Amino acid sequence: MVDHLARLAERIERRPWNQPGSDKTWVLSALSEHQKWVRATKRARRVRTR
Amino acid sequence: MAALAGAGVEFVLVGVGAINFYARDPAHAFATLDVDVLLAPRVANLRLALRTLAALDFRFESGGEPFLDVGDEAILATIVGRGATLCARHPSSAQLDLMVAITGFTYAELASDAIRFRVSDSEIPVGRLAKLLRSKQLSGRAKDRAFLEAFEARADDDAE
Repeated sequence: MVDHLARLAERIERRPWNQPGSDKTWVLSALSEHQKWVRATKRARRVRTR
Repeated sequence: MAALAGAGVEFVLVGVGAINFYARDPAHAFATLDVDVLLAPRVANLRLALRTLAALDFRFESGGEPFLDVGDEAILATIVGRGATLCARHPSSAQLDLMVAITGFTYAELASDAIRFRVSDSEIPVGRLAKLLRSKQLSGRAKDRAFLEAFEARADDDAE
């Protein structure tokens, strides 16, 4: 299990989009959008549909 | 994050938020509401992080209660000594969990080979994927075991 995860991690790190210096701005943007969505759904009122 | 890096705060990203940095695109990322920021466990570094974030209107919580003792050296020393976590919240930004300890690795072990990714105009250190996964494995928490199962199921695409 440990070796399997370590090998998997190694393979993922070698992918072109994971080279040092790659632009990962989208990660924090996506997180922020997800958080806004969760807050909005918490504020939303239930609507009776029938 | 950029402000922390710019202020000279020593940190490395860990947890699911950091694991998402290795995803191919948003469709392969995992839903999370916060980013775990592992700080170099020193009072001066914690104080600098808190001051930097406070200047950006972040508010802090500890154990669900407001944390206002940002400048209290003794309390900051206790946080560092106990390895406690502070939550930094902002109305229009991702929640940051400020940690000074993580299961399985020291700050130095994670920072020593962290990969620096670009976020906007800053370079942000992110813990190595194998260590982040290993830390989850070592924690033994049910939610971390469930995460690892989901990660393995989804990661095969990314690893090919």
